[in-house]
Amino acid sequence: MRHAPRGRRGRINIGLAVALVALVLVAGLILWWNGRAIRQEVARTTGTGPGAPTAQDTLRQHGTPVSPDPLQPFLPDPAKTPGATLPVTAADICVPGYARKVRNVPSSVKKKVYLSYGITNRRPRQYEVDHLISLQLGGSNSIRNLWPESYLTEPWNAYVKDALENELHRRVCKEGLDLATAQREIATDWIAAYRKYFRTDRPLPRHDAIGEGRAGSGREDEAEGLRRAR
Amino acid sequence: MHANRMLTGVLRGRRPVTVTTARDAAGHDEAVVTFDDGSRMTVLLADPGAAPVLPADAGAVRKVRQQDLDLALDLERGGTLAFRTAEETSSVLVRAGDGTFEYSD
Repeated sequence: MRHAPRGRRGRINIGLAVALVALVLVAGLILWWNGRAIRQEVARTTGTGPGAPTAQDTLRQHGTPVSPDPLQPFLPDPAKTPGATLPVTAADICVPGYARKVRNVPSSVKKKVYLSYGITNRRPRQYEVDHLISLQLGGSNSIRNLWPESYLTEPWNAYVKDALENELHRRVCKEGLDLATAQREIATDWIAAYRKYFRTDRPLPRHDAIGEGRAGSGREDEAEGLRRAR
Repeated sequence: MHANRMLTGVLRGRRPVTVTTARDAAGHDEAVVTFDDGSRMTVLLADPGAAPVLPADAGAVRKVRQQDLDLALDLERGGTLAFRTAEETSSVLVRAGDGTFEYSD
């Protein structure tokens, strides 16, 4: 077997090292660009897009520091999404499987929701079309009850609101909380309702992306991946 | 119009008995369809008094179709109950004869 001369092997090693460094730089550039694109999109849809001032005002009311960071949480625009309910009672919604008897929101309606909030370009798992008053609390599929809710905003996001929805449903069905009260509170200001019912100023750790009922679904992994890319 | 399989599953085999119009507590005009098993379907209407006339001896529901604001119940003997709903969603609700919630869109 012939061996390459030491000088030639050295050149090969240097070439491999240069290629490796270049590969790392390109990967880093892709990650940076990816995060920049997400920041720009979120900024467009939450910080400066139509309806955003309402969320800003609400955040000020919460005493949450309003920073120039466009990734701050955003809330539904009450003019577009005041909330809407079905003519159902606690006896209806407390029957297991109730929400499965409500038809899924058609994709045509979801598109209208995104457009009404000025969102024309989004990434998979960046938002969900959320029922402001959740189905399990008697909310309806009316477009007046739907809004694009972000998985990515911190600390308030879709995962945290899901935890509140579950808690309110539990309180209505197990502790006799008045259904109309629960509907009104979550529609008026879900962050304030979360703080009230969980007695905390910030989301509990178990209610973030890997919180209740999410583990293993894949959604949290994708959302976390997008967050890290920021 | 697309098939609404979920509502078809609920209503298939039920024979509409009456179709009336009413105004709900919130002031919305609605059509109320009663079926031979005592169940009731309410449909919020786009236009007041725009409920369809029930064809005589039309038979049971065979299929339900829905798209945008149009809702159609195809009946076994060829007739159709057609409605123009108030919204694309959240306009149709069905309760069983004992009042149990069965469906909403």
